[in-house]
Amino acid sequence: MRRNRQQAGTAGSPGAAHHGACRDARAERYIDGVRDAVPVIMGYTAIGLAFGVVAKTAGVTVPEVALMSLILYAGSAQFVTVGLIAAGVPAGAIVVTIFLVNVRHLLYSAAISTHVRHLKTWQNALIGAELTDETFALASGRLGRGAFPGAGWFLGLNNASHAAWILCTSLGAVAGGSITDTRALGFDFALAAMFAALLVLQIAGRPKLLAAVAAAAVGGAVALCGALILPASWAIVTATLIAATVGMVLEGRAEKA
Amino acid sequence: MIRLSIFLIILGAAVVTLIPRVAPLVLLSRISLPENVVRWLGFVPIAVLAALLAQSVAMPEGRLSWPPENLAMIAVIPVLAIAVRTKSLIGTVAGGVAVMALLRWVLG
Repeated sequence: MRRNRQQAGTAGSPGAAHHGACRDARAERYIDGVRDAVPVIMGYTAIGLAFGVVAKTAGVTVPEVALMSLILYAGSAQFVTVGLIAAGVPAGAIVVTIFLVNVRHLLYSAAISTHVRHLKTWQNALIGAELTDETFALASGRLGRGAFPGAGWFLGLNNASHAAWILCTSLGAVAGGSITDTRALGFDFALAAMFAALLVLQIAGRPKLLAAVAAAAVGGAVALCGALILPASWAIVTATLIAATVGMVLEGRAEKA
Repeated sequence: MIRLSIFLIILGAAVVTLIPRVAPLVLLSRISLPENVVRWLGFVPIAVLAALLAQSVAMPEGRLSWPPENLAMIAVIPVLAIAVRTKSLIGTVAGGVAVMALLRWVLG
Protein backbone atom coordinates (compact mmCIF):
# COMPACT_ATOMS: atom_id res chain seq x y z
CA MET A 1 0.00 0.00 0.00
CA ARG A 2 2.55 2.51 1.17
CA ARG A 3 4.92 1.53 -1.55
CA ASN A 4 2.27 2.08 -4.20
CA ARG A 5 1.37 5.48 -2.86
CA GLN A 6 5.01 6.54 -2.80
CA GLN A 7 5.48 5.36 -6.33
CA ALA A 8 2.39 7.21 -7.49
CA GLY A 9 3.58 10.34 -5.72
CA THR A 10 7.02 10.38 -7.28
CA ALA A 11 6.29 8.94 -10.71
CA GLY A 12 7.23 11.35 -13.45
CA SER A 13 9.13 13.71 -11.15
CA PRO A 14 12.86 14.13 -11.82
CA GLY A 15 13.72 12.51 -8.50
CA ALA A 16 11.70 9.38 -9.14
CA ALA A 17 14.53 7.21 -10.42
CA HIS A 18 16.82 8.33 -7.63
CA HIS A 19 14.13 7.62 -5.03
CA GLY A 20 13.64 4.15 -6.42
CA ALA A 21 17.38 3.45 -6.28
CA CYS A 22 17.57 4.60 -2.66
CA ARG A 23 14.69 2.39 -1.70
CA ASP A 24 16.21 -0.58 -3.49
CA ALA A 25 19.55 -0.08 -1.72
CA ARG A 26 17.73 0.15 1.59
CA ALA A 27 15.72 -3.00 0.88
CA GLU A 28 18.93 -4.74 -0.11
CA ARG A 29 20.61 -3.81 3.18
CA TYR A 30 17.56 -5.01 5.08
CA ILE A 31 17.68 -8.36 3.27
CA ASP A 32 21.43 -8.57 3.98
CA GLY A 33 20.59 -8.12 7.66
CA VAL A 34 17.97 -10.87 7.50
CA ARG A 35 20.46 -13.18 5.79
CA ASP A 36 23.17 -12.43 8.36
CA ALA A 37 20.72 -13.37 11.14
CA VAL A 38 20.82 -17.06 10.18
CA PRO A 39 23.23 -18.18 12.96
CA VAL A 40 21.13 -16.34 15.55
CA ILE A 41 17.94 -17.89 14.17
CA MET A 42 19.45 -21.38 14.42
CA GLY A 43 20.29 -20.81 18.07
CA TYR A 44 16.91 -19.23 18.81
CA THR A 45 15.15 -22.22 17.29
CA ALA A 46 16.64 -24.55 19.89
CA ILE A 47 16.35 -22.20 22.89
CA GLY A 48 12.98 -20.81 21.80
CA LEU A 49 11.33 -24.22 21.50
CA ALA A 50 12.80 -25.20 24.86
CA PHE A 51 11.53 -22.00 26.47
CA GLY A 52 8.02 -22.53 25.07
CA VAL A 53 7.89 -26.04 26.51
CA VAL A 54 9.18 -24.89 29.91
CA ALA A 55 6.76 -21.96 30.04
CA LYS A 56 3.77 -24.13 29.14
CA THR A 57 4.79 -26.68 31.75
CA ALA A 58 5.00 -23.87 34.34
CA GLY A 59 1.38 -22.91 33.59
CA VAL A 60 1.98 -19.90 31.32
CA THR A 61 -0.47 -19.79 28.37
CA VAL A 62 0.46 -19.64 24.68
CA PRO A 63 -0.69 -15.99 24.21
CA GLU A 64 1.29 -15.02 27.32
CA VAL A 65 4.39 -16.68 25.87
CA ALA A 66 3.88 -14.85 22.57
CA LEU A 67 3.38 -11.51 24.36
CA MET A 68 6.49 -12.08 26.46
CA SER A 69 8.56 -12.87 23.37
CA LEU A 70 7.12 -9.84 21.58
CA ILE A 71 7.69 -7.12 24.20
CA LEU A 72 10.24 -8.57 26.66
CA TYR A 73 12.35 -10.47 24.07
CA ALA A 74 15.21 -11.66 26.25
CA GLY A 75 16.08 -15.33 26.52
CA SER A 76 17.48 -15.73 30.01
CA ALA A 77 15.12 -13.10 31.45
CA GLN A 78 12.11 -14.98 30.07
CA PHE A 79 13.24 -18.23 31.69
CA VAL A 80 13.71 -16.36 34.98
CA THR A 81 10.30 -14.65 34.68
CA VAL A 82 8.51 -17.94 34.12
CA GLY A 83 10.35 -19.51 37.04
CA LEU A 84 9.40 -16.65 39.35
CA ILE A 85 5.77 -16.64 38.19
CA ALA A 86 5.58 -20.39 38.84
CA ALA A 87 7.11 -19.86 42.28
CA GLY A 88 4.44 -17.25 43.09
CA VAL A 89 6.90 -14.38 43.58
CA PRO A 90 5.18 -10.93 43.80
CA ALA A 91 5.08 -8.85 40.60
CA GLY A 92 7.28 -6.03 41.93
CA ALA A 93 10.05 -8.42 42.93
CA ILE A 94 9.91 -10.08 39.49
CA VAL A 95 10.27 -6.75 37.69
CA VAL A 96 13.23 -5.71 39.86
CA THR A 97 14.90 -9.09 39.27
CA ILE A 98 14.43 -8.79 35.50
CA PHE A 99 15.96 -5.32 35.58
CA LEU A 100 19.03 -6.76 37.33
CA VAL A 101 19.20 -9.68 34.87
CA ASN A 102 19.04 -7.33 31.88
CA VAL A 103 21.13 -4.39 33.08
CA ARG A 104 24.07 -5.78 31.04
CA HIS A 105 22.35 -4.40 27.94
CA LEU A 106 23.64 -0.98 29.07
CA LEU A 107 27.10 -2.15 28.01
CA TYR A 108 25.93 -3.51 24.65
CA SER A 109 23.99 -0.34 23.90
CA ALA A 110 26.95 1.87 24.88
CA ALA A 111 29.35 -0.17 22.74
CA ILE A 112 27.07 0.05 19.67
CA SER A 113 26.54 3.79 20.23
CA THR A 114 30.08 4.63 19.07
CA HIS A 115 29.23 3.25 15.60
CA VAL A 116 25.88 4.95 15.02
CA ARG A 117 26.59 8.59 15.81
CA HIS A 118 25.51 9.60 12.31
CA LEU A 119 22.05 8.03 12.59
CA LYS A 120 18.88 9.76 13.76
CA THR A 121 17.81 9.38 17.39
CA TRP A 122 14.73 7.33 16.54
CA GLN A 123 16.84 4.98 14.43
CA ASN A 124 19.20 4.42 17.36
CA ALA A 125 16.24 3.84 19.68
CA LEU A 126 14.88 1.27 17.24
CA ILE A 127 18.26 -0.50 17.01
CA GLY A 128 18.50 -0.62 20.81
CA ALA A 129 14.97 -1.87 21.38
CA GLU A 130 15.76 -5.28 19.88
CA LEU A 131 19.30 -5.68 21.24
CA THR A 132 20.07 -9.10 22.73
CA ASP A 133 23.24 -10.97 23.69
CA GLU A 134 23.20 -12.69 20.34
CA THR A 135 22.29 -9.78 18.03
CA PHE A 136 24.84 -7.59 19.83
CA ALA A 137 27.50 -10.25 19.34
CA LEU A 138 26.66 -10.61 15.68
CA ALA A 139 26.41 -6.86 15.02
CA SER A 140 29.77 -6.25 16.77
CA GLY A 141 31.35 -8.69 14.35
CA ARG A 142 29.93 -6.82 11.37
CA LEU A 143 30.72 -3.36 12.80
CA GLY A 144 34.28 -4.43 13.54
CA ARG A 145 35.16 -4.89 9.90
CA GLY A 146 34.84 -2.14 7.36
CA ALA A 147 32.01 0.17 6.40
CA PHE A 148 28.89 0.71 8.48
CA PRO A 149 26.27 -1.71 7.15
CA GLY A 150 23.40 0.79 7.49
CA ALA A 151 20.42 1.17 9.78
CA GLY A 152 18.44 -1.06 7.40
CA TRP A 153 20.90 -3.91 7.94
CA PHE A 154 20.45 -3.59 11.70
CA LEU A 155 16.68 -3.59 11.33
CA GLY A 156 16.80 -6.69 9.12
CA LEU A 157 19.01 -8.54 11.59
CA ASN A 158 16.87 -7.47 14.56
CA ASN A 159 13.48 -8.14 12.99
CA ALA A 160 14.44 -11.56 11.62
CA SER A 161 15.93 -12.67 14.94
CA HIS A 162 12.97 -11.32 16.91
CA ALA A 163 10.45 -12.94 14.55
CA ALA A 164 12.22 -16.29 14.86
CA TRP A 165 12.17 -15.95 18.66
CA ILE A 166 8.43 -15.17 18.79
CA LEU A 167 7.64 -17.99 16.38
CA CYS A 168 9.78 -20.67 18.07
CA THR A 169 8.78 -19.85 21.64
CA SER A 170 5.10 -19.88 20.62
CA LEU A 171 5.53 -23.15 18.74
CA GLY A 172 7.25 -24.65 21.77
CA ALA A 173 4.35 -23.57 23.99
CA VAL A 174 1.76 -24.95 21.55
CA ALA A 175 3.58 -28.26 21.27
CA GLY A 176 4.17 -28.41 25.03
CA GLY A 177 5.62 -31.72 26.09
CA SER A 178 5.13 -33.36 22.70
CA ILE A 179 8.38 -31.90 21.34
CA THR A 180 11.03 -34.41 22.20
CA ASP A 181 14.49 -33.07 21.57
CA THR A 182 16.18 -30.62 19.22
CA ARG A 183 19.46 -31.49 20.93
CA ALA A 184 20.06 -34.55 18.81
CA LEU A 185 20.46 -32.22 15.82
CA GLY A 186 23.13 -30.19 17.63
CA PHE A 187 21.18 -26.92 17.28
CA ASP A 188 21.61 -26.17 20.98
CA PHE A 189 25.30 -25.66 20.24
CA ALA A 190 24.71 -23.09 17.47
CA LEU A 191 24.96 -20.04 19.74
CA ALA A 192 28.10 -21.26 21.51
CA ALA A 193 29.68 -21.87 18.08
CA MET A 194 28.58 -18.39 17.02
CA PHE A 195 30.14 -16.83 20.12
CA ALA A 196 33.38 -18.74 19.41
CA ALA A 197 33.52 -17.60 15.77
CA LEU A 198 32.72 -13.98 16.62
CA LEU A 199 35.27 -13.97 19.43
CA VAL A 200 37.99 -15.18 17.06
CA LEU A 201 36.98 -12.58 14.45
CA GLN A 202 36.94 -9.79 17.06
CA ILE A 203 40.36 -10.74 18.38
CA ALA A 204 41.76 -10.88 14.85
CA GLY A 205 40.38 -7.38 14.24
CA ARG A 206 42.21 -5.68 17.14
CA PRO A 207 45.54 -3.97 16.44
CA LYS A 208 47.37 -5.77 19.29
CA LEU A 209 46.75 -9.53 19.27
CA LEU A 210 48.21 -10.24 22.70
CA ALA A 211 46.12 -7.56 24.45
CA ALA A 212 42.97 -8.95 22.82
CA VAL A 213 43.77 -12.57 23.76
CA ALA A 214 44.54 -11.52 27.34
CA ALA A 215 41.25 -9.62 27.60
CA ALA A 216 39.35 -12.67 26.29
CA ALA A 217 41.10 -15.02 28.73
CA VAL A 218 40.31 -12.73 31.64
CA GLY A 219 36.70 -12.35 30.48
CA GLY A 220 36.17 -16.10 30.25
CA ALA A 221 37.83 -16.81 33.59
CA VAL A 222 35.92 -14.11 35.48
CA ALA A 223 32.61 -15.20 33.88
CA LEU A 224 33.12 -18.75 35.23
CA CYS A 225 34.57 -17.89 38.63
CA GLY A 226 31.99 -15.12 39.05
CA ALA A 227 29.16 -17.55 38.29
CA LEU A 228 30.13 -19.54 41.38
CA ILE A 229 29.16 -16.63 43.65
CA LEU A 230 26.95 -14.38 41.49
CA PRO A 231 23.91 -14.93 39.24
CA ALA A 232 25.19 -15.79 35.74
CA SER A 233 24.12 -12.47 34.20
CA TRP A 234 26.04 -10.50 36.86
CA ALA A 235 29.08 -12.66 36.29
CA ILE A 236 28.87 -11.51 32.64
CA VAL A 237 28.68 -7.86 33.71
CA THR A 238 31.64 -8.25 36.08
CA ALA A 239 33.67 -10.15 33.49
CA THR A 240 32.94 -7.47 30.87
CA LEU A 241 33.94 -4.57 33.11
CA ILE A 242 37.21 -6.22 34.13
CA ALA A 243 38.15 -7.72 30.75
CA ALA A 244 37.41 -4.53 28.77
CA THR A 245 39.59 -2.58 31.23
CA VAL A 246 42.41 -5.13 30.85
CA GLY A 247 42.13 -4.86 27.07
CA MET A 248 42.08 -1.07 27.08
CA VAL A 249 45.12 -0.78 29.36
CA LEU A 250 47.22 -3.45 27.58
CA GLU A 251 46.42 -2.21 24.08
CA GLY A 252 47.05 1.41 25.07
CA ARG A 253 50.44 0.46 26.51
CA ALA A 254 51.39 -1.70 23.53
CA GLU A 255 50.57 1.12 21.12
CA LYS A 256 52.65 3.62 23.08
CA ALA A 257 55.61 1.24 23.35
CA MET B 1 -5.89 -16.12 27.27
CA ILE B 2 -3.74 -13.46 28.93
CA ARG B 3 -4.27 -12.97 32.66
CA LEU B 4 -4.12 -9.35 33.86
CA SER B 5 -1.57 -10.10 36.60
CA ILE B 6 0.74 -11.85 34.10
CA PHE B 7 0.23 -9.04 31.57
CA LEU B 8 1.38 -6.47 34.14
CA ILE B 9 4.45 -8.52 35.07
CA ILE B 10 5.43 -8.90 31.41
CA LEU B 11 4.82 -5.19 30.74
CA GLY B 12 6.90 -4.13 33.75
CA ALA B 13 9.72 -6.51 32.83
CA ALA B 14 9.62 -5.24 29.23
CA VAL B 15 9.91 -1.60 30.31
CA VAL B 16 12.87 -2.16 32.66
CA THR B 17 14.56 -4.15 29.88
CA LEU B 18 13.91 -1.52 27.22
CA ILE B 19 15.53 1.30 29.21
CA PRO B 20 19.10 -0.14 29.42
CA ARG B 21 18.78 -1.26 25.79
CA VAL B 22 17.84 2.13 24.40
CA ALA B 23 19.19 4.83 26.75
CA PRO B 24 22.95 4.56 26.02
CA LEU B 25 22.36 4.30 22.26
CA VAL B 26 20.24 7.43 22.29
CA LEU B 27 22.32 9.48 24.76
CA LEU B 28 25.95 8.44 24.14
CA SER B 29 25.65 8.65 20.36
CA ARG B 30 25.04 12.41 20.73
CA ILE B 31 28.17 13.32 22.69
CA SER B 32 31.81 12.76 21.77
CA LEU B 33 33.63 10.38 24.10
CA PRO B 34 37.30 10.48 25.21
CA GLU B 35 39.66 8.19 23.27
CA ASN B 36 40.15 5.82 26.21
CA VAL B 37 36.41 5.38 26.68
CA VAL B 38 35.99 4.56 22.99
CA ARG B 39 38.84 2.03 23.26
CA TRP B 40 37.22 0.55 26.37
CA LEU B 41 33.87 0.26 24.60
CA GLY B 42 35.71 -1.30 21.65
CA PHE B 43 36.80 -4.10 23.98
CA VAL B 44 33.28 -4.74 25.26
CA PRO B 45 32.44 -7.20 22.44
CA ILE B 46 35.57 -9.30 23.10
CA ALA B 47 34.91 -9.24 26.84
CA VAL B 48 31.22 -10.15 26.45
CA LEU B 49 31.86 -12.83 23.84
CA ALA B 50 34.54 -14.48 25.98
CA ALA B 51 32.19 -14.41 28.98
CA LEU B 52 29.20 -15.75 27.04
CA LEU B 53 31.32 -18.44 25.36
CA ALA B 54 32.86 -19.56 28.65
CA GLN B 55 29.45 -19.84 30.32
CA SER B 56 27.69 -21.52 27.40
CA VAL B 57 30.49 -24.08 27.05
CA ALA B 58 31.27 -24.78 30.72
CA MET B 59 27.76 -24.46 32.13
CA PRO B 60 25.28 -25.24 29.32
CA GLU B 61 22.59 -26.26 31.83
CA GLY B 62 23.23 -23.27 34.08
CA ARG B 63 25.75 -24.99 36.32
CA LEU B 64 29.34 -26.14 35.82
CA SER B 65 29.54 -29.62 34.26
CA TRP B 66 32.24 -31.78 32.68
CA PRO B 67 32.47 -34.33 29.88
CA PRO B 68 31.07 -36.88 29.18
CA GLU B 69 27.91 -35.20 30.49
CA ASN B 70 28.90 -31.87 28.98
CA LEU B 71 29.78 -32.41 25.31
CA ALA B 72 30.01 -28.67 24.59
CA MET B 73 33.36 -28.62 26.37
CA ILE B 74 34.69 -31.14 23.84
CA ALA B 75 32.97 -29.61 20.80
CA VAL B 76 34.40 -26.15 21.46
CA ILE B 77 37.94 -27.32 20.66
CA PRO B 78 37.38 -28.23 16.97
CA VAL B 79 35.01 -25.27 16.68
CA LEU B 80 37.70 -22.79 17.77
CA ALA B 81 40.09 -24.45 15.33
CA ILE B 82 37.55 -24.06 12.51
CA ALA B 83 37.02 -20.41 13.45
CA VAL B 84 40.75 -19.62 13.49
CA ARG B 85 41.33 -21.52 10.24
CA THR B 86 38.38 -20.29 8.18
CA LYS B 87 37.48 -16.94 9.85
CA SER B 88 33.98 -17.79 8.64
CA LEU B 89 30.99 -17.21 10.92
CA ILE B 90 28.45 -19.34 9.11
CA GLY B 91 31.03 -22.06 8.41
CA THR B 92 31.93 -22.23 12.10
CA VAL B 93 28.30 -22.36 13.21
CA ALA B 94 27.49 -25.09 10.68
CA GLY B 95 30.64 -26.96 11.70
CA GLY B 96 29.79 -26.58 15.39
CA VAL B 97 26.26 -27.94 14.96
CA ALA B 98 27.62 -30.86 12.92
CA VAL B 99 30.33 -31.62 15.49
CA MET B 100 27.78 -31.59 18.30
CA ALA B 101 25.33 -33.82 16.41
CA LEU B 102 28.18 -36.21 15.64
CA LEU B 103 29.36 -36.28 19.27
CA ARG B 104 25.83 -37.07 20.47
CA TRP B 105 25.44 -39.75 17.81
CA VAL B 106 28.76 -41.41 18.65
CA LEU B 107 28.67 -41.04 22.43
CA GLY B 108 24.95 -40.74 23.15
